[in-house]
Amino acid sequence: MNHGDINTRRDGEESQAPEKLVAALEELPARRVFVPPVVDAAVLLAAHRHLAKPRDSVTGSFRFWRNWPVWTAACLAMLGLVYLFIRPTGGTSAIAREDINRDGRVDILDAFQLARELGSGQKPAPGLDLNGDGVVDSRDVEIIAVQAVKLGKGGRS
Amino acid sequence: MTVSTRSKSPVESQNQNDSRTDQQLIAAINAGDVAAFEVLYFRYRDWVVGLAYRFAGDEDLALDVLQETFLYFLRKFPGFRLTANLKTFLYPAVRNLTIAARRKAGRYQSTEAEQNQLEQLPGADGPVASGNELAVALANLSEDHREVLLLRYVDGLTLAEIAEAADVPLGTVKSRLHNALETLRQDKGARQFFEE
Repeated sequence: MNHGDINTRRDGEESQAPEKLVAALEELPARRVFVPPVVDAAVLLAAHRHLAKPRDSVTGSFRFWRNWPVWTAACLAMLGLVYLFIRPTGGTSAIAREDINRDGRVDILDAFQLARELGSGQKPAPGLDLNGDGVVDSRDVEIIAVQAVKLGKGGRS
Repeated sequence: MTVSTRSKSPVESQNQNDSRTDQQLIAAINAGDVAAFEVLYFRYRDWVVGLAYRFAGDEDLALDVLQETFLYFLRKFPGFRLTANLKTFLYPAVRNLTIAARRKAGRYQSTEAEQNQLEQLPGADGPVASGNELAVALANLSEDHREVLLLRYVDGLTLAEIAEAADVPLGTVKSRLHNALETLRQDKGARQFFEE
């Protein structure tokens, strides 16, 4: 490697590393940090909350109030859902409705999956209207997220 | 240093196939496209967490910094304008958040990072692989010199991008790179890489 005038080279141009050194640097074993899926889900859920266009909830609820047949049907549906949850289910274990991905746990991954479904335009199941306001939206996502945090590392569904 | 591998999740694999440029993704995110943010997240996630680990020397801290970095990035939307390489924007965020995390944890991670680099070395009597010799030589560099060298030749940033990321004059970056290379050239273990 041509040393030359160090000051001139330092000020005028970039010092060049030999190819052998560059190749060795690139091949140097790098510590690959494993990123757990819950970390990905937490970040992406925050992105859904921050970036998703806000629902025009005031106008929506006003239109909803004027449409009493829908309101009546929604109430009946809610009563039916409540009945389904409180009646005896027999010997089989029930999967919590918040366990969106059916993995046996209610955790941040469930909140994230519901957020993704809403964001992609998929129609979530009516049973996911966790706050009973007649629509499945980001507020229901929040409920799952809060529950996941309360359950710690993910409670059994 | 160890290398750990794992299979990619379906979400990761799907996002890797997205061919949009960073500028196009930024524009989409500004328009509220959450899927575009996902693509950008997976595109830079491993670099961010690897950089955080380079600074922190601790995996848990690195994961915390990863989250904080992307949450900080997220709060820039809508309205974020990408004027350079995205790594140029993320680098100071990762560095500053790692410093804050270190202070909170009460650790001196420069020593810990150096120890992590050295822990894989064989005993004094055994042969030393050239990769380990280089790792030792790198550990002997000052943090500023080592960082410029790695940003240039491992992360692929130009000197101008490094200057912007590190918020130092271009001349300083050139000087640090020059000094880093000179130090490696004089190092017993690393001089083999300078020989023809």
